[in-house]
Amino acid sequence: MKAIVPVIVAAGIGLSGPAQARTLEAVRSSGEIGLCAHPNSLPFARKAGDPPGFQVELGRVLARELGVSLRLDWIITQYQMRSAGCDIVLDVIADREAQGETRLRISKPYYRAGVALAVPSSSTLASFQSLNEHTKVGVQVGSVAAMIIGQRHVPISTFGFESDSLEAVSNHEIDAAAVTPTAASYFNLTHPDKALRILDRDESVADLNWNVAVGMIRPDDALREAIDGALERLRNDGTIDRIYGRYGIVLQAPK
Amino acid sequence: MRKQWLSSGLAVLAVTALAASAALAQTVDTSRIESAGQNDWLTYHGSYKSHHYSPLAQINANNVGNLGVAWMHVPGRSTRGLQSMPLVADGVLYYSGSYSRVFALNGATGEVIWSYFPELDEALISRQTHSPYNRGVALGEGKVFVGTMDGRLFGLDAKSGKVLWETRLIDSQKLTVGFTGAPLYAKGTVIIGSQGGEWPGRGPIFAVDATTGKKKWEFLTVAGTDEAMKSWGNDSWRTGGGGGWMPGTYDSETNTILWGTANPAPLYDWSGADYKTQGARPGDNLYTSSVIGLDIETGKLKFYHQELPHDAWDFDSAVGEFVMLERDGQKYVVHPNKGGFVFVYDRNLGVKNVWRLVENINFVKDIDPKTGELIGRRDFSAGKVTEPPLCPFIGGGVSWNAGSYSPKTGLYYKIGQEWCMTLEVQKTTPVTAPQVQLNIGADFKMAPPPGGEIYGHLDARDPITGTKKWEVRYPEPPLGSVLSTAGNLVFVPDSRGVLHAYDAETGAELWKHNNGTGHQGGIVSYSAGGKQYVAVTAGFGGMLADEYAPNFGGVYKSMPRDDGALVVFSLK
Repeated sequence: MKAIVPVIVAAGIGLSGPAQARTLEAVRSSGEIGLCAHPNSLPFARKAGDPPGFQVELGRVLARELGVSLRLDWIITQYQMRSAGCDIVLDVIADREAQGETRLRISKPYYRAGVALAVPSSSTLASFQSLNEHTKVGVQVGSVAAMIIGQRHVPISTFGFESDSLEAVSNHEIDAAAVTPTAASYFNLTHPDKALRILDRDESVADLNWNVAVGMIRPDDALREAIDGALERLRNDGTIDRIYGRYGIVLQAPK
Repeated sequence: MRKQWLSSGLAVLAVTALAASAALAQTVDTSRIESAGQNDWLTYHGSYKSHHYSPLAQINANNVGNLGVAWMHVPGRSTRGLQSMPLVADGVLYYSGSYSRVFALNGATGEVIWSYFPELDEALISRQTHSPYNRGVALGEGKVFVGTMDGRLFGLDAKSGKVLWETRLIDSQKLTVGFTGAPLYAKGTVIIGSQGGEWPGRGPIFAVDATTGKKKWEFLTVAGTDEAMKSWGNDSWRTGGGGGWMPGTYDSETNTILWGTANPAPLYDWSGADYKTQGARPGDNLYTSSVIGLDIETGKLKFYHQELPHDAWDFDSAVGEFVMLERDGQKYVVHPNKGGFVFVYDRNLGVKNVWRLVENINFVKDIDPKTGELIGRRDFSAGKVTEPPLCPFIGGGVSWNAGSYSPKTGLYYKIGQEWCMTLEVQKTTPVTAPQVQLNIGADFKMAPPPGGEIYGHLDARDPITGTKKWEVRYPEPPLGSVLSTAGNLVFVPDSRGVLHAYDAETGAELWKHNNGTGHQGGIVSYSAGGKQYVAVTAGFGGMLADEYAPNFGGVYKSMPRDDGALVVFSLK
């Protein structure tokens, strides 16, 4: 089962008005911090089963660092974020334009991600630069990667799910999949017999690379600082790397 | 959870009374829906002709001032209001509320005969965007048919509400979408179209055997034929959206289902003018934003017209009724498109005329009335669209609710919506989803038309030529359906909560009543026990109605968006 992402929800209609600011004091007095996560989206998160996803695991240790427990609020789109009443979301792209509509406050970044190419192990493709008019690339519908690669006159094939485009690569239906290293690494973990080669991201294209942070819904300064501090401790002692590592993902340091 | 209201003596009496009347009643079948007996309202659009017209005249222009509330029914749990079209057969009124709750009520008294609350996947529904409202049921062969947001179609016993069958048609867990529209019954078949326009699926329309619930066929509105597959560059058919979320109709002369289809996904396309070869979904994107004719037995496409090739504005063809009428020996089908144009077709969906219902349109300069070809289309690249704002607003020049055609006056009564929007195309990320790649999204904001104000209007027009006879204006666009009657009346339920009755010939207001909350659903007239009634659903909320409070303030600031009632009127 896969989760699906609405590329655009018609009209931008439905974003609720700003919720009341949540202070660190309020979080601590309630004894819990709310994490908005998708209920059916391994390796990110899932509502039922084990493993629970790295967002749930990271949420738990973040909550522990703040001295509270974790409450999970299961939602599927950003439009439900404010009505869900959560305090944080994880794996948020630390890009002001990308977050313009969400009005999230962004923590200090804790890893670097973007769009990489996943290719069959036998492929001669070595980088984005080696794509040409004869190489067909799987892209996620409506993504910036689809636009950039398409504008280079490289044939593209549109998918709703990254996992579907990775399957298509492994079945040799397409030559490469433009996906996040997260998705490609988890695919390799769960398909050891079909493992794909993950090419380095191309840092020369700004829109295909980004830092990842914790998104906070109207925090006060104290909550923001507390989360920044907790993230720093969890990065320094290797906890975050270990959590993501359990899902086959090797994190790269933010830039 | 299912509830049968049979524990009170009162309800048992009602059932007994129903049984007595049912013994006299004929079953609801294709010929009965075709002939549209005057006492009933047997299908979403009134009959297959889709006139939304009642031949009853007991309530008329001379006595409408004496109209008052006969009874009300509060369905409860009306999240995002009430949007459904009641149906009536043999004095029993059937309607649905949010979460596909279905009620059968005594049409004369409002007493509950039975109710059925399907057990739904609440977790899924709470995650959906266009949810949990339901726009109506269908009747046929002694059954009531209703779709659910979690992808199922139910067949209920019309006498008891007992589930006779349920069929899962969509994997809603994967695709997110389900059913909000009313089904259509014809020739032993139940047709229902899925949502889809904002979600990366292929927008199926289903046919199900009314007796067994077994799926008969499925037509994919995205690339449902080899020809259509070629109109989706970059394999974008895989995520094309589409769907057919409102009911169409049935043409018995050609044995054809006529249905309107929804917009392609992704909604925003950065192609600019080169949409045939560039952008997120290069090509015309068949059969989205189209009207299609399907063989009722096989689901095979017989003919179609794509009203908006490569729709870049979210102006569905799913919203419009198919008004079937004849003039000077010619048979026509009139179909309004969400963009604000009204298309006039022959019965094979060949274009005969196109006319403008809405004044403020600039997504195209015009549409050729002879060919239906778009002239001077406005396609976007990434960036801001503000000067001029795009007209109409994404809510459309026409919404999902139906207009009405009166064979008595020969006029088509239809609501037009005059509003525009600024559009900013930007990088976005759905933060809570397992987001993967930075997306190109768009932020839309309602804006007044250039040099004017936002307003809505009820027009009385010639359905074939578009010639306007009269117009009534409203400060905010009404979102409810329109009803005309042989009593020389036109009823319009408005957004502020007022139900208006107008003289069908002149547009003069003859009566009004405040139902206390906004309307965005259906209105019908029927007769029970020799008395004429008018039934309207009231209750505001949803993707479009939610825009009213921030943009218009006033009464909308305090208007609930989780409440509603069925209000039924008769002469005092």
